[in-house]
Amino acid sequence: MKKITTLFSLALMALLALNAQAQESMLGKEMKDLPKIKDANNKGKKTSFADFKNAKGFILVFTCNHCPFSVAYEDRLVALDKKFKSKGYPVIAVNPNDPIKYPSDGYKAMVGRAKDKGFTFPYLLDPTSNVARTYKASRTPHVYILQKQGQKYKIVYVGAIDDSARDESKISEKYVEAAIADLLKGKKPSKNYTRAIGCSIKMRNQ
Amino acid sequence: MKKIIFTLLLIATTTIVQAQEIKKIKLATLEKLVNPQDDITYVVNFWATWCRPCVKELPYFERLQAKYSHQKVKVILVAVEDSEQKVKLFVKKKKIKTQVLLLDETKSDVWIPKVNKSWDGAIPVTLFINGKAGKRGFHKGDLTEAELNKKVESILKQIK
Repeated sequence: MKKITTLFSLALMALLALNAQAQESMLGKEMKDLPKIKDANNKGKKTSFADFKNAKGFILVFTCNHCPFSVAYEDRLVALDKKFKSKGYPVIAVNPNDPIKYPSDGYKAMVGRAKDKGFTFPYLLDPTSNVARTYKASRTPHVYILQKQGQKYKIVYVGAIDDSARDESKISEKYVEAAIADLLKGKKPSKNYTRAIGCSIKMRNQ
Repeated sequence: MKKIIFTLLLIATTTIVQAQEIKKIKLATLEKLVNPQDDITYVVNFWATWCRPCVKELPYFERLQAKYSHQKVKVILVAVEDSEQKVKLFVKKKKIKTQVLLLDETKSDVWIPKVNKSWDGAIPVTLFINGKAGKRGFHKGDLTEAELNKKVESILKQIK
């Protein structure tokens, strides 16, 4: 019995380790378009990457209403969108949280937040949390920079927006801006994976 | 009458029991904390007052520490928060007895991988370590009380 337990725990540990490297392993992956999902910032219009004809790529950010770290970044997301949309890298925000677990992440509340904060980008509702599952996103905010390659979207950066979530005055590295600057110069982002504290995503049950 | 006495006692004890002093730690201390060499089983949880699932599981850690107070089990709650005041008030209000440390580091991309290479920063997370026995577990996300107890029991069983 002991052996079985040991084997079982070993298997579990291996599984955890696999899951562990998940986000970093997403780098370089080529993704399909998002499913057409509801945009809380555009009267529920179903939206995906394909709606952005001139985009060279996207700043895809998993975010939400309830998480203080996400809230802290709302203005910075608007600034990023304003700065990089015209250069071909618009922001697309996706809320994957289960509103049963976090009522403030429901669709109506998303509509309200997008309006209050003057979001200039789509705020999409991930109705099954499967977009987050596909990207192996674990927290909010969690950024994936995608580079368009034909019909596919290659993940070239995974991580944080900058290195000081709660206090903008203490930012010393703007990860996303630096990565996009590299992309615009035709280079790979020199820093393509960063970690930051954030709120665990509460996925909907499958 | 009984009720009144009870209430009075309650008020008395709550005023007498001082809130714990919260130490601020830097990266060097954190690294030692997550790499202990002794025979104590450490349960190190990373949390913040704004993180609802973290706050929900704090009583489990409190009860865990109380339950194993006579054994070599040490629970440490590392707050990752920039407002020292918020942590202090919270610990006082909730009368948390388990040791709380405040991580005084801002460069999360530097310190997060020192805790666990696979961790990307979502909280809560909990480490289970017995340095002498070479046992190390890392749990991402929240835990039920049963899960938490089981993890500690499993380490204690293995090192017996």
